[in-house]
Amino acid sequence: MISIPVLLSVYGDELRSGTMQCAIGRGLSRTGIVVGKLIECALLSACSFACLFLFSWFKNFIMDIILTPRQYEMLAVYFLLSWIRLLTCFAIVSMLTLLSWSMVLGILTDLFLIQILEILLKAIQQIAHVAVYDYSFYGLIAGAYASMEVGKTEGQLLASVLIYICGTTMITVLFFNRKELPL
Amino acid sequence: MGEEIIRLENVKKQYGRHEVLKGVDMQVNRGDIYGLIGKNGAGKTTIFKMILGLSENNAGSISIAGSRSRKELLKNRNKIGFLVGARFYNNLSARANLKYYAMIKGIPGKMMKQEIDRVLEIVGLKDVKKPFKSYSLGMMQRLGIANAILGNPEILLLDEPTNGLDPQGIADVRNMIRRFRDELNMTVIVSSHILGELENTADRFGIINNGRVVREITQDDLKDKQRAISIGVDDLEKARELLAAGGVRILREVEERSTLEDYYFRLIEGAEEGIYGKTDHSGSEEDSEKKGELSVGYDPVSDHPVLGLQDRQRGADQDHT
Repeated sequence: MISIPVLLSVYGDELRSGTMQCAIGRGLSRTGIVVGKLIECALLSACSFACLFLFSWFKNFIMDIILTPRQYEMLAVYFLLSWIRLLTCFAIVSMLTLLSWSMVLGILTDLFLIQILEILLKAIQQIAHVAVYDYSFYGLIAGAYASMEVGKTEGQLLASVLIYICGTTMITVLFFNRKELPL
Repeated sequence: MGEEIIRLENVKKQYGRHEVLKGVDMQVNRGDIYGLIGKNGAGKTTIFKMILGLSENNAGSISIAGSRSRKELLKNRNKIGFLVGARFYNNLSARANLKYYAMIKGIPGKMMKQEIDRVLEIVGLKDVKKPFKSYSLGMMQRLGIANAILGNPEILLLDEPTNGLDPQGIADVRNMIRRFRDELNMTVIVSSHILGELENTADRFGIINNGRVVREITQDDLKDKQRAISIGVDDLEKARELLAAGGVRILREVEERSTLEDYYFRLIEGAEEGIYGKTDHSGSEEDSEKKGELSVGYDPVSDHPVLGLQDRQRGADQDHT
């Protein structure tokens, strides 16, 4: 629900209007653009999740549903982990969008990552008994959430997710710096 | 000679096994209007892209405003304005579109309105309120040029700015280019595949052919050599026969013309295709009734004279060496 509007607002117009070429032509570094775009995605999606969190709190308040502080804490953790998960998807989508210079491919990848890949990895893990899901960012985030539910902190798992984000961004920077852009 | 503002040294670019630029050397001085002339696919846009950092050169060096390091090169790109096709937001007016670009270019909010007014006035779009989607091709190009000069850059790159424009539109763009240099002190590099479009505008020309700048000439050189003449002929077939009998070989027939004032020559074999000498065709009324025209002109690429035979009725040229 959140990812496509965020992606469209961050990349959609840029690819079409040539403003990115304008920024590069004005001396902005490509690395700055890649990182800046990811930060823009992160901020926009964080705002969206914050709004959703406030909305769920407000809904509970109107409907007179009382949650314990612990339940609110876990709700916040859920939103935080969903945001990290989405950020990882954005890093992968950014890579494909910038390198292919195609928003359509970016959106299709986003849908695949959000709707299909997780189920697919779970199925492969079930059928082939290979821990592809557990070591994917989906599995790592789900593992972190499960641990946090029982009161543990899972910094190590979340750090692994950060490797996904940083690794993908580094690949994007590496190849985007060589990419020829249309004039 | 003025201060050097752009220098390309032995710049090469390769796409897979296809070498687009085979070692381009080019130097543009401050205050120049430099015409980059070459056929489609000769590498003009690639040169522009590399100057702007939109494409990486495989070899050679590029220097902008005396930059000596990559960091300085990046910083000095700030001095360049360029035409980014005609890609604007369809539903926004010229002013709203430029506001968006002004933000990207880092023009301070307080100066933004004043700067946008200034550039819109220069290109003659100040009073146009309608959205971009309803613009004519000429208006789109004017807005592109307005965007290029937004922020008053020192260097202006215009890649085929007259493409698709009518003769009046072409004349307007030429006048604007001269104004940018004379009044705004800009250095302009403008590309075209037709020399005639720029011959009275640019001071210097770089002729690019087959991935190299094969010749650099000044406007004075060009004027000295362009003493083209045209002779009306009654019988085109007879003229063709005579030429053939004299050992002049027909290379191919061309059926296109760009502007009314430019006569097209297919240049001598091995020379740049699509660069044309302008003939002096101020013939008498009697001449204008002739069926064809035999013209002798100058090919700046090969630095050789060229011969053209034009059928006035068909508007086509048969060309000979």
